[in-house]
Amino acid sequence: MALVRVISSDGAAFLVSQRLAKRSGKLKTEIETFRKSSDNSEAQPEIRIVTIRAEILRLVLQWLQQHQNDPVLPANQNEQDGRGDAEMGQSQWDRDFLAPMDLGIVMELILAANHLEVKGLLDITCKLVESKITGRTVDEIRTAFKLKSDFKGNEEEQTRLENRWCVEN
Amino acid sequence: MSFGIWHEVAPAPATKLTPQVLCKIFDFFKLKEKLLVQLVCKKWKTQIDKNVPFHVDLNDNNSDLIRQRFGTFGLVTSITIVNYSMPHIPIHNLASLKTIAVKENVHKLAVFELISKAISLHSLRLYVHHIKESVAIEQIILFAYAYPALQNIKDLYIGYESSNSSPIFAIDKAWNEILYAEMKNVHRLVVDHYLCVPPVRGFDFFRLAARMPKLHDFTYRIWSRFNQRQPQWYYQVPRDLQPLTLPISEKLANLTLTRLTAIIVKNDEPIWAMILAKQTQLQKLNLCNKYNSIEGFPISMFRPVLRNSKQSLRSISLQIDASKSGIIDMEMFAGLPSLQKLVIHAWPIPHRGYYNSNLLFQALNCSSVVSGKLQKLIFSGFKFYEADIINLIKNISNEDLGMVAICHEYAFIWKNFERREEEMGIVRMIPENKSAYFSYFLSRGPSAMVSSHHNYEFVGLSNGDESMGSKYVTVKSQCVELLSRR
Repeated sequence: MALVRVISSDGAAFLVSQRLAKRSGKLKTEIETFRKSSDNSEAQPEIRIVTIRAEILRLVLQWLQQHQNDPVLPANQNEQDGRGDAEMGQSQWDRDFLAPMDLGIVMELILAANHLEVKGLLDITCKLVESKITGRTVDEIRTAFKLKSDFKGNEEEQTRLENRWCVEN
Repeated sequence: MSFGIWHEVAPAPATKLTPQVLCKIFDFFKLKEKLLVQLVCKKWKTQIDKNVPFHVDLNDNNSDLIRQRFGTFGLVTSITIVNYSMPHIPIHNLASLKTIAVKENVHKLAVFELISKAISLHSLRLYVHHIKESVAIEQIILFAYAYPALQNIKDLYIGYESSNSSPIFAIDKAWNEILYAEMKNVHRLVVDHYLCVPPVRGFDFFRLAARMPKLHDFTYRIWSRFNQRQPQWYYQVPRDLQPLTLPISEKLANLTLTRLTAIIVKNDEPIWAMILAKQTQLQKLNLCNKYNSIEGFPISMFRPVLRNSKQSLRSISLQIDASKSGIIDMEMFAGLPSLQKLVIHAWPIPHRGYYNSNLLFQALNCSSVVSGKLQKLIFSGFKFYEADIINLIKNISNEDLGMVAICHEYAFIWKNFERREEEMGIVRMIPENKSAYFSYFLSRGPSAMVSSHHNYEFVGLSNGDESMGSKYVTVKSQCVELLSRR
């Protein structure tokens, strides 16, 4: 079985099958680039992901392993289709997988899935964030996402007034 | 596979989310949440304003908020609302819009103003409602004004209702004079023309379709409501109808359609014949010839489609004139290797006691029709004897055929476009060693059904009998689906 070594930003190495790795658009491109530039066809590719730390990379690979037999979704699939995928494609395993994660980890997982071009994982994590926002007040959202209001003057009040007809009902 | 070492690092804050990812998350939201998260921080507000598509249904009966704000007829109640009271909805990000366009003279420009700014609009569902002549021309001009925005639309629905006060041919003329360019990206066009007055014709949507070179899914339906005593599809040849020019006819014929739904009326028959004759990629064909001025079903028009799109046709639904067509030649449906669904529906429903056996016997003798990939075979609007039904099932040799449905004598009344099903019962029988099952709809009600069909597995009743339990809902939905095909 052809393998590839994937190294996280903090130096942890993961040895995975190329078949599995190629389910990530980014890793697939890297492997193919390596093949073209390498004289030795038996050489094992080594890919360093400088933006993803080990904990998150491990989760991405774990998700890929679980979904290795799923059809690969095109990255440019339109958003409406994507919405359907996220709602319909979430299995019980996915729910169990995401359940213990705090919002910070989910954010990192989203960034990793986006960077590695793993559409299915990106869909379900984005959907999870959406579900954590829906039903909350603005202040609760800021707290949950560790965000501060950076509106100046009466900008926030102005926006609030514009949205009042819909938001406050 | 090795998963390496777990490192505890502080989670990345939400501020690191890229605009692309933010947009993906925000796009899951409904309108209210999209507006709400604008208040969280400037970055989120900017993304919402700039990049997140909005899907607005201003007629949604569930959208009480919108109805309270804009009234029953959506934002058309006031152009002021569009320009000043909804500045926070970034119109340039409006991806889909569903609205009633016009109500009399009230702020008639609003919708077209909105459309003209919605440069990212890719789906427009527009219902043009009760307009007057003086307004009509102006609105078509405005439609032309909004034309640049319409260039991105892929999915266009136009519901059009003519009334006593709207000489529609004038609109047709205006449309043809002003909107002359192509709408290059439309791939799906659905037109529902509701005739309230005889015998005029609305927009000539053939001309519109001819300007859509990428069109592959075309639905064109004419509905009559000016005389409730007549059959729903009653139609008269309109006056003042100009024939299509040759270039338009050629453009229409050159469309490569994969899905076509059409109500063929006598006057349009040559156009449809030309379109149908040229099609080679049709997958789904739904034809209805509900009009009172033709003898029988136009088989000659239909045969070239079966020949030219032989490989691609997956679903055929025909609505035939039962008062004229005694025999359907079922052999013509043989030899379609991809055909999965065949529906033949007779209308009007024969008078009680009228027995049209020919259709059934033709079906029985055509085993090749129920071979191949056919999964659903549906006849409706006919009356059959039980012995014939049993014979039909016995003659089915195709293991893949999952459904044979015979629907007859169910009564329904059209009133203001709403159906009312009456006394419809369903039984299902699973024959020995057959994968097929059979649905039988009767008008006599459940008690008669059970007593006279005790050998069948009784699976449920429709007509809102909640006591029968949820499993019958599925069966009922099949009936509704069937009815909706007409």
